[in-house]
Amino acid sequence: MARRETQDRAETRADDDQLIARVAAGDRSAFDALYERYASAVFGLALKVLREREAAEEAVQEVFWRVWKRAASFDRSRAFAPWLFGIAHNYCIDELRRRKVRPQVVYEDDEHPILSEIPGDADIGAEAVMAEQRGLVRAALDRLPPEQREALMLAYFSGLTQQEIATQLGNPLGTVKTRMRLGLQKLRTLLQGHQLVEE
Amino acid sequence: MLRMKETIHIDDEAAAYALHALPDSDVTAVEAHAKHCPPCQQKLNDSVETAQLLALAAVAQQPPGWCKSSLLQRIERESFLTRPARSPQSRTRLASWMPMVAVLALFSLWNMRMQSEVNASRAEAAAAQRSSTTIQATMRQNAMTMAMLAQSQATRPLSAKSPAAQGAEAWMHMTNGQSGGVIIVKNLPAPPPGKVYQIWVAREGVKEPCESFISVEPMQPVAVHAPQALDSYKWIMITLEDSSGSHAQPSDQTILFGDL
Ligand SMILES: [Zn+2]
Repeated sequence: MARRETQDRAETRADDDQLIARVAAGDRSAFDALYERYASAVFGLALKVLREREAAEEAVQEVFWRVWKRAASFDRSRAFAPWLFGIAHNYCIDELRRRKVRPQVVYEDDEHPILSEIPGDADIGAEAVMAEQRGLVRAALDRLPPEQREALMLAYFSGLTQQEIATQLGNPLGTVKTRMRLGLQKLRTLLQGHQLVEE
Repeated sequence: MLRMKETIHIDDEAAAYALHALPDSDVTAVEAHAKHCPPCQQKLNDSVETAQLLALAAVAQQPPGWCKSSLLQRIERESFLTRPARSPQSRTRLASWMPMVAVLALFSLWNMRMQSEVNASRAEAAAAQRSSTTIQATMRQNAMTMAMLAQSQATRPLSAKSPAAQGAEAWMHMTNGQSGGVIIVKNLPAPPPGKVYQIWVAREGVKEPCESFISVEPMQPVAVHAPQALDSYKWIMITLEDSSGSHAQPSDQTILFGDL
């Protein structure tokens, strides 16, 4: 991995750490900065999971509201972005299940990878770092066997349980479980290679 | 339903847990097991960390600007409501009494004008009697408001919390132990069509709706009747609400706020 990318990521992480610490102390301008940095990622996730613009708009507000309320309990030894995505994903899946609006099994393979989103050298800052990480995650997903990728994407974005996925795909439950486990393991190994997750 | 014995470690479940693909009952079992099994807890943490990055596989999109403004307004409002109450010292200042004096003068003039209307209407036929009754009722109401103003012991300022109320001010005139008081609202524009201003009194966990009104005068007195003594509440606020519908909870459109 390029040294420049590592440095940019480290800087973004340091900025995030500082911002969330200030948010924990009630600093609204720091909250504003975190919102500007991550709102589009959260909105994109909410749109993909909830598939309704209005619901996704509500999700963005609720997720960042939880960030504001929970900032003081954030474990500062960890990175902010995965914590935020965890809150966002929890909210979206709960909302999806609460509304019992189960989308049909649609596995949109055409959404990734969008390599054109990866910025060139001229792009610096948080935006560029996010785009780079986005590209890396998509590239890693592309390297998974299709059935493993399908299992991960269905579970993460459709809010379906293992059993529901097995039923909808007509596969035995054991097969779906194994695909999820192997898929996530391989994804982790691939992302470790890019230092996106810890070794 | 999973049966998680001490000897059976989390294997397939860690991935499904991280992806939110387990039924609730299994989630509880997995968490209970991991709590007492460090290797499984580690496996769970690793799986969650990896799964969370799947969020980046969704295409990023900018949410509309109002999402942020609405969120910031919610934060502003919440921080006001959780702010500790100020020490109970007398906050009656000359500046805050000035509008009250002005309103009293305004009332006097208004009542004098209405008195002459009543006198004139007395000479007229039965049709006018209805109008004179209405005017007299208004005068009685005004007299009660004036009495509440005159006997009030304390004044609490409210300040604008919304761009819609820029330049607007208000003062709550109240008496200890009394549930009735008068708010004098200054420079508050009329609400948009279909909307009214709603007065609320609040303390931790309690928000009570009081009177609603439509401000039309540059200096508008509004009588307030709370369910309990006004000084038993911590805050007073004015929100913008739909003119129809019940107002069990204040909307997010807070216009003016003050400590009681
Ligand atoms: Zn174990």
